[in-house]
Amino acid sequence: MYTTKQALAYIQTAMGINPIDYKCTMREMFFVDTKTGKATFNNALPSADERINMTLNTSWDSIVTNTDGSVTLRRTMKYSGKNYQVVTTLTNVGGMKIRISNYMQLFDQLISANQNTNLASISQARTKFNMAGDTIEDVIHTMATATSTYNFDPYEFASGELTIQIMTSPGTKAGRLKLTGTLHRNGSPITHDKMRWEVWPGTAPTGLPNTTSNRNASAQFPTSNSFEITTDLRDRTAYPIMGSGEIRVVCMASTKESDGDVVQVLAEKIISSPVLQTFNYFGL
Amino acid sequence: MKDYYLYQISDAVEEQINVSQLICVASMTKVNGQTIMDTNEQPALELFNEKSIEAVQGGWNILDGRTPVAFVEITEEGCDYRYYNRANKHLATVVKCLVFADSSVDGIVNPGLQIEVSNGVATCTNITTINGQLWSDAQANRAIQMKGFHYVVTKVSDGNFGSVKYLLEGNGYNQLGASRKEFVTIAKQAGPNVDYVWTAKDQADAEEEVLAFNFIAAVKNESSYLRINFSQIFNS
Repeated sequence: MYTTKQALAYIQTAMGINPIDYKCTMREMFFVDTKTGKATFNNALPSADERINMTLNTSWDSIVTNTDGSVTLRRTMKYSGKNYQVVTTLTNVGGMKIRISNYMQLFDQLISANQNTNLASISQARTKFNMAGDTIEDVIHTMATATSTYNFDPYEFASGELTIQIMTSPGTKAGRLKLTGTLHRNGSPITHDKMRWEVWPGTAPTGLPNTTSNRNASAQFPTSNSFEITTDLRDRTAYPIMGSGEIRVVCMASTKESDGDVVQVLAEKIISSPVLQTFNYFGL
Repeated sequence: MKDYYLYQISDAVEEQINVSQLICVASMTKVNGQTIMDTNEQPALELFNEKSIEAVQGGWNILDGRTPVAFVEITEEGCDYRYYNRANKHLATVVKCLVFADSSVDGIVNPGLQIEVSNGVATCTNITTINGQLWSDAQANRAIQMKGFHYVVTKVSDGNFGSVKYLLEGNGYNQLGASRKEFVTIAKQAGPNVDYVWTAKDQADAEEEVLAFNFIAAVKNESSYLRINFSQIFNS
């Protein structure tokens, strides 16, 4: 069994990329209605914040490197009491691009069992994936494999020049942990223009300065360089988080380069703290 | 003169659980064998609207009429109450975490209208409460950053809001809130300062005109609609 942290570290070693730097620029899949088994092609744009590491934010049964250098991660998902395979493969397709495919065994079985209602989408997939002469099993297998292409947009600054340090310290009340982010250039702290945080698993956005301009998740996270988190929902003035034990924090800060270009720096930290080791809110 | 509120909490419920001070801060929904966390803050009032209550082992059953539809228990584990959407909590598909609200942070909004009919003109005054206070008296806080109301007049058949016909959308709002915060007027005949005229033809129609009102508490944060039929309005 591999945790998210282990999976991210494995990919970094095996593929030489830092998944935190990658965001999703395209996503397409045949979405399958689990009631009717009807498959519909869906190429909705991913949200701006979706990154590889969000896709990988789960535990895995196995991780292997394939002969072509791609990495395959396997896990099982439960649906209606049965276990189904989910196979995620990351492939370096050149030009700093990474493609991720997610094979969903559940979708495969649903489409196979409902071939008659899916004639149009199977035909669409044959054209789309250039599979005119392939067996129907192979076409359905491809349909059940959602693909995403992730694009890496390299920063202008030299690697390592700009960094963010995420530090933790005791909160102002029992049961709280304080997070502070500081932007550094060549190891010395500098001021940032904007800072934004995301915390997984998070919950209700209370107790923090926020832009309130909309209800998108990003705007609900703090924009200050330090804030406090708690696992106690009753604490109405700290940022409450779900679950217990381990959290993943992403801090984004932007600054202006001497040529006026705005650069954004991302840092991620997985934090384990006894303060966060409490209970499950839902009593399950 | 008559007051209408979106959420009606019975005294029996309020005696057992201080519902009007509770806010739902996290929900867990079981879907397809997985669980989804929802984090929008909502007043807990909706869960107890027009419900009754009975104390049972370990907590309370929430009843719809005589049928237990939910179970509530006190907890110390991160929240104050847990709400299960089944009387048997082990069968629940939705679990909600309820906590006592802090009026400096939270907003518990119960949309309300006071209706006064005089000379065929119904004046529907906004009497929404925020954290138990009249909206105009409640202090702005993190959840309540602007105050205002938005209303629509719709035509519905048999209470079916799925295929409403919009007759009027009033009190447009922007980031600063609604243009008029206090009231809306409806009359049976055209006159000065009347927002909507309920014509004789409409009154004779089988379809019903409904005034739907929601309260704007924060940017893009609105309450559910309080809906009142025109016939109810003019009988107030």
